[in-house]
Amino acid sequence: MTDPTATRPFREVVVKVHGRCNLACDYCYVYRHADQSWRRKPAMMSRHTVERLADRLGEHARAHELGRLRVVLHGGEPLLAGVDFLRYAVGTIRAALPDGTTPTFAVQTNGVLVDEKVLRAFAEEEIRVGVSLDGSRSTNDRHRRFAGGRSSHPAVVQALDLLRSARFRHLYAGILCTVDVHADPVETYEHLLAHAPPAMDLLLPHGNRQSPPPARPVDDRRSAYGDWLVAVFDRWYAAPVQETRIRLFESLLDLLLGGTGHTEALGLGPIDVVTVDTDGAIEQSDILKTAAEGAASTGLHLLTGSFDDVAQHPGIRARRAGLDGLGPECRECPVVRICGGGLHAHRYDGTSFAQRSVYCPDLYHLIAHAHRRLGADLVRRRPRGRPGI
Amino acid sequence: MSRHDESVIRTKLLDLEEEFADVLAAGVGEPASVPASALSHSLNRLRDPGEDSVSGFQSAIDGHPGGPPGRGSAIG
Repeated sequence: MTDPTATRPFREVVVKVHGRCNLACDYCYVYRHADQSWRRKPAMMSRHTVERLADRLGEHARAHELGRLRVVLHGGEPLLAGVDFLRYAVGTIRAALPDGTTPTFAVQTNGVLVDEKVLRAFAEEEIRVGVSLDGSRSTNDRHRRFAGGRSSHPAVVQALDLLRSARFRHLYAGILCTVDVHADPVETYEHLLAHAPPAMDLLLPHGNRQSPPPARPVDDRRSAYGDWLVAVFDRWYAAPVQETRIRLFESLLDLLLGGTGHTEALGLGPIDVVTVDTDGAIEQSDILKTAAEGAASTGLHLLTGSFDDVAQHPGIRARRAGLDGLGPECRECPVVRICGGGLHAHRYDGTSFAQRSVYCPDLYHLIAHAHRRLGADLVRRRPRGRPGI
Repeated sequence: MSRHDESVIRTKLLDLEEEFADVLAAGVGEPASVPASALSHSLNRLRDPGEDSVSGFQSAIDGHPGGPPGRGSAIG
């Protein structure tokens, strides 16, 4: 048995409560990329699997005396599991955790099934809600439609209107936006801002060096995505009073100032996230499904292995190894402490994750730009008479 | 990436923390709850990082450390 004292614990678990989705987003990392294991897995997590998950989480929390544990209800579309099931999952996990462990629960949803009844239940269970939206209706409709082609935008806006209302504002976790490089960046940001999110994040569309993302040829030094992010950064950063939190940019600033990041997309910090699929399989961050069939798999299951066993998996260890987990080009790069090689899955070249990110020029451009802005502002904060950059 | 970017990064990136140690140590000099700019919030987080930071799962926005500026709680 693995010695728990020698193992770094997981602090965030992504629970795939449902493996199907009622939208047909064309970039979805679950359905549209290399790994097609969803076809062979149960559509929904069973109550039995939830109970085994709760047991394992309780075991893990006790072994490591975890003060906090984040549980993200995910999918597919988690609301397809139904409110009663989500209540059952949350209640079962809560009951299994020791008194000293405070769980936080959140659901990441496409939003189209969110209504008052759902939010009342979430309020009772203290489940916070993150919603995915890519911008204006025309931008969002380019990628995020129902299978029949119908726009999802009106339903998502309705969900966001409910979430920003006084009754449910405390549940509103924020908005996830996948960058569409063909959309105007500032217009997109301001459209999202109009929904008053307490936080948002900007995600680069998934791809890698073997299967590049749209408008991102491998090793092309132009940085369309970098330019897009810089435009939003400038708009966000320049606001005299911060209008919302953007996880990517906050992490960027904190890293540049010597602090730590808060996203697996930047920095060298260890990744303390683990995923449990609908069938009880314990996996690495399932974004790795964009790389290759089985890339997220650990071979371990709730019934046969503990979370400490999973922590010994070479893939997990590599993503907690900081600089040592990167290839030689990244290790030698002057921005590696900030970039961290970007998102792990974006470094895949068909064989390994030891190359630069397919988004390397974009990340470099964003980091350099933020560095310049930050440096200039820090000079202005310095007492008069002290030298600056 | 421009050649200017490269020269800036290679000569200066790793110096920010060192160059402005005095500014970072001073922080913003006001309570974290006061509405403030993005830079001010970041300076506050440096002074009060809160809970053990987690490089969180990218495909969920469930809140991350440093919630209300300078605190280690969830967002919102």
